[in-house]
Amino acid sequence: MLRWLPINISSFGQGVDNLFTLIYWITLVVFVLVMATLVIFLIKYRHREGVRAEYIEGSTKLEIIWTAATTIIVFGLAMLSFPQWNNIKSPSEFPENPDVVVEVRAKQFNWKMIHPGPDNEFNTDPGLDKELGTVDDPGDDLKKLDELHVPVHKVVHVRLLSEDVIHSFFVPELRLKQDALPNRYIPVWFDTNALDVSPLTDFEDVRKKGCFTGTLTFTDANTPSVTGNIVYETDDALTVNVDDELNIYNKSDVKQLDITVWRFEIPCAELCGLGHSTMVGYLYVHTQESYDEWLAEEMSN
Amino acid sequence: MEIAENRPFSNAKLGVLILLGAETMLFAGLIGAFLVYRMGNVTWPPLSHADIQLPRLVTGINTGLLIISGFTMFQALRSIQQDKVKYLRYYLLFTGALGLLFLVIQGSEWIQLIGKGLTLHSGVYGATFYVLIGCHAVHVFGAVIWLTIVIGMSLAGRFSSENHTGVETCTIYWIYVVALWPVLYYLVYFA
Amino acid sequence: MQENDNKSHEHDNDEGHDAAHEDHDTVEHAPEHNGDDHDTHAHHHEEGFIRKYIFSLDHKMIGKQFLIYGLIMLFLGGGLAMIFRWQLAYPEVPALEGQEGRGAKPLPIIGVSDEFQETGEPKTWADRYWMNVFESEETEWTEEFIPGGVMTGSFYNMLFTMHATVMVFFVVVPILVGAFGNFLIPLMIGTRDMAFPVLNMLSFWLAVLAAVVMVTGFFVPGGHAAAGWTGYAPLSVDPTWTGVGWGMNLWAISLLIQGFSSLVGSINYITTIINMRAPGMTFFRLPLVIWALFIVAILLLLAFPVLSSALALLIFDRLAGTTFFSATPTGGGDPLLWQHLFWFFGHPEVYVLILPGMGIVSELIPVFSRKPIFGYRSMVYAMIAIAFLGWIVWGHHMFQSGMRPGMGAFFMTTTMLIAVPSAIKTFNWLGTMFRGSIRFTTPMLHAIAFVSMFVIGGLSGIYMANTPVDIAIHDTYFIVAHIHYVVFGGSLFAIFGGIIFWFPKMYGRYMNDTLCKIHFWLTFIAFNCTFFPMHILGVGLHRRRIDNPMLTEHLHGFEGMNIFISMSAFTLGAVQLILAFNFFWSIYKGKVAEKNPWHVTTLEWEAPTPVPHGNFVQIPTVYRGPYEYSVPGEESDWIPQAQPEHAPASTGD
Ligand code: HEA
Ligand code: HEA
Ligand code: CUA
Ligand SMILES: [Cu+2]
Repeated sequence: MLRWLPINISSFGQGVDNLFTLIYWITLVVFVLVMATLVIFLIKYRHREGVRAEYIEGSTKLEIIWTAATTIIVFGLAMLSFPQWNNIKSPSEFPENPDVVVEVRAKQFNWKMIHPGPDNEFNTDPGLDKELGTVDDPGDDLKKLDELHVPVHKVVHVRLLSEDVIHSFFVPELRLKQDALPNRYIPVWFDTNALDVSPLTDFEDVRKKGCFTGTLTFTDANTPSVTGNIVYETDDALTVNVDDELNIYNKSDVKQLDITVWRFEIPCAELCGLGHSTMVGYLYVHTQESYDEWLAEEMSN
Repeated sequence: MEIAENRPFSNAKLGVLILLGAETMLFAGLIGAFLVYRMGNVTWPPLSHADIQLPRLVTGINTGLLIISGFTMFQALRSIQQDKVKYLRYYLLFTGALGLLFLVIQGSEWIQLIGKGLTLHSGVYGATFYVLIGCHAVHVFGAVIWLTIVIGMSLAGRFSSENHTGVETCTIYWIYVVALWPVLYYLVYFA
Repeated sequence: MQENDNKSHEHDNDEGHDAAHEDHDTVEHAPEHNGDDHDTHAHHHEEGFIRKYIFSLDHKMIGKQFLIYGLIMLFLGGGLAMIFRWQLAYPEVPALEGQEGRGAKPLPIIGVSDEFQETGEPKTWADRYWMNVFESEETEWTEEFIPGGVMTGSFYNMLFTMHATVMVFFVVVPILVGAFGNFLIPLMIGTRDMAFPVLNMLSFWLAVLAAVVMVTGFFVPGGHAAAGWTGYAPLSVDPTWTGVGWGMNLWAISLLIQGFSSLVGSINYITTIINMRAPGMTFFRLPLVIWALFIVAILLLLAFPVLSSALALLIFDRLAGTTFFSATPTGGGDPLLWQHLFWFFGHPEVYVLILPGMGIVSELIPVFSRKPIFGYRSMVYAMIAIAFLGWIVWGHHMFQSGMRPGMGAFFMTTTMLIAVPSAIKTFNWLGTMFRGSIRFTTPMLHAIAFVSMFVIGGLSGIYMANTPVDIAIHDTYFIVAHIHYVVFGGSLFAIFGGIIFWFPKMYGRYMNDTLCKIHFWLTFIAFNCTFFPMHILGVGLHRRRIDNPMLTEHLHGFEGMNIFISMSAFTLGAVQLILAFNFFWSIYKGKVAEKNPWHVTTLEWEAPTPVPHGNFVQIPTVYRGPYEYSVPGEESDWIPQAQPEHAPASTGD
């Protein structure tokens, strides 16, 4: 059911999907009922010679019934949705003491990801009254362009900000979308708890599963396993970038795939000018060790 | 049958009343914007314009003038209803004069403020000030023009106790514009 | 009758009403009509061509003017859609690592040919044109926007922005409110003309002016507005951010003018409906389409000024250097203010697009089921409820905008509540067909299409109304699907149905039924093929994306769908040409229609065809509700509202 949805990797994503599916069924039933009645009436009561329409001005009883029914359904839906919504969006409900805090700044047409420096402080905190949007030197903070790196299964807090027009931070697999406003920080949180980290053994749509960096071990034992970035995929082959050269492996030869980094797109979801469609960043989800590695390396230079 | 007889308002009068609905929404939009900024700032005027002091007193007097003009306008209507065409003309002229005076005082105020450095460009504070007050001023101006036409018609003796829709509609509009002012005065000068 | 009708005019002589006034007296001694070519004897007193066709004060002529105006703009708006649909089918796909990208496919006819791209040998005239353009020193605007027939990002943004603006403000509203409103209101409430004919004419010519200004925008340097029809600030504020200069200003100015036009129009409608109903036409004997237009007039009256205020602020920001929306830290402007103002207008506006449609359908279904409308009063109350709720749901466009999350809960609830009155309407339409005697005329087919398509569009609205789900589908093609199911599947089908239904009254002739049927079925199929797949693309595919719309990984399976959608879209577009041809052909060559071809009870069919200046020979008196079909114990299956005998004032009070 609804197979065309992107995979979900966040703890709250499943809730969203369930609501989606629920509404899908409700609306489907309503639609089928309405259409069925319509078609039956059209056939049954089509004009026939000598048959005269019946003079019916209405029926309070029926009207009350379907008014009540609809009201109950929609209120029920609303009730189910409140907690989900608050859990995702209202800062008061965010899980405390996050493992990672990053500042994400949108600027035509890039995402600037700012990690606090060794002191775990955002040194250049552009208070709302300071010269905002022109800050391009985050002091000792770690600044990446279009790359957001986070450890897997950890709580991440994001302070979202735009330096010019309105953009929108969207990761389909997280079921998370939030506009970035100029001049106003917006707190956002997510985790990647629903991401399955166990080694892959079936290799269908590995890129849709977000697989990026990983180690391939092969069915015949004496081919050495390779580690690299899976950059391209066809139905039966993987193109892997092993230290800057592209090798192609048949999926049938691969026994298992241990992933260390997953990658998901962060397309900008709000029209922000002529480069809107080219504004895309990437969310890199690391296993803890590979994250520490990455952080250490970045901090060193 | 019933329709034709019990029509509380003539078309023209109803039309003007409906128009007021739209006007209200227009100002509601602008005032809404103003309030958003007002709430967004702890201090008003914002620190950047702390030195600016809006001329509350003069404007207060001006407000008085406008309100009086409202009464005189109402008197004008009353007199034509009692067929006192002469009084109608006096009251109309007096009202028009007051309206113009109001505009003149507003204008001089603006010139002073601009001299003091409060312009459209000085943040939302200046901008909202000029846009809100300006929008109202434009309406007063429009009302004055309308009034002049009515005065013209009254001099031409077009009105009588039976037929004075022209005066009636103009009165409604005038009083609306007058009644709107104190609200803006409070918001812009005191809130 | 004549007396108090004239009395009504006494009051507003200063409204320049005298003209319309004289006309009335002339009507009495108007000779009988011979049905054919009405345009030549529509008015029976000497009136110059200009006064008759151009600056006409006659509500019927103004209605027709609005209709033509709207249809022309429909072709403009649709044409724009055709152009960007091509781009969406064959977009540019930037090279990802390991996967080579491909350039966008040049537009057919005006773009360079493939051979030319390979060999450099000009084949078509387009090839030669582009060769010259590229070689020439000075840069043509074509070179700036569609070099070689491949559109640039800014051009694409401009296309869909103008597509939506034109469709919403210059097609659907003018036709539904302007055309049907003008033509139907006086006829259906039984009066000789609008309350303020001069204002009426003014309203049309303001609309024309607005259209002219809007179209001019295409030709100014920098191109037309490109910030979406929602013109979100701060994007729309600073030319450097969109690359659009005066286009954006003209967009705003044009909408301001359009605002005046609809202000004048709605004052006119409301006054007319309140004050000028024929004797006996109580509010609860009004046909539902009049109720709809009445409510819509109120919505427009109160909603448009809010947009005007926003537009004024926008223009100040752009031209006077204020900082209302551009949130520079020093300026202290508010980036969300525009969205609040726009949507506070915007949501009532979308109900302006649907309510008259609902009204029209509520006329068509009873007529062709030969039954009273099911639950007349609840239909009225439902429309009022929809209109009222429309004011407190605007936040549902801003769930992801950074608005306080707490408000999300409120707006979700109010938005979903709108399903309730909509349910009443939907099921009452079904109830109207129940035990009816349904005639499948083309207007009826459109009415049925309206009901089913509106239900799809409405139900998709429930997904988006649900805040958590909206997180996933906001600003995706799911929304685009929703939009088009309600505005095309809803409004446009109602418009088509209405045109075919009232055409005999408007032009005294029938539209060619075969062509109408062909047009209907092709449109219905092509429409669904075009917009239904968008629901599926919706999960992740973004609106307003020019190159590689299939960006996100999980969409890679769906590339083919965009091509399919575009092909259906072209068919859909081409099919509309049938309608256009049929319309204009029938005006002159159509089969001459009798006075009341569909056996309808409402007053407009009491008037002679073609309707003379002043409408009625004798102002009718109304004795009963508008839907007296198949009344038991009557030999004819319909009793006109104005028929005196034994009045069982059924739905009236
Ligand atoms: C004619 C125009 C029209 C109409 C009538 C509607 C009707 C509705 N719309 Fe729509 N809407 C638009 C035009 C319209 N909309 C446009 C143009 C946009 C995009 C703007 C932009 O961003 O560019 C938009 C966007 C839009 C959004 C914002 C999406 C986003 O940007 O994230 C939302 C969210 O709540 C929404 C909701 C609804 C709802 C709940 C209704 C309801 O009125 C629908 C009610 C009807 C039904 C529900 C069906 C009939 C009822 C039954 C059969 C009874 C049974 C039903 C149940 C039990 C549920 N609309
Ligand atoms: C009344 C409103 C209305 C109507 C009728 C339409 C009609 C159509 N719309 Fe539009 N549309 C909107 C309102 C409307 N739209 C709005 C509000 C948006 C949002 C804009 C935004 O994001 O800001 C939108 C956005 C929108 C998009 C998304 C663009 C994007 O986000 O990137 C698309 C994409 O397919 C689209 C397609 C179409 C098509 C194919 C039609 C077809 O129905 C058109 C059919 C054609 C005609 C009726 C014209 C008649 C025929 C001709 C012109 C001649 C034939 C020509 C050829 C065959 C080449 N529309
Ligand atoms: Cu940034 Cu779109
Ligand atoms: Cu809405």
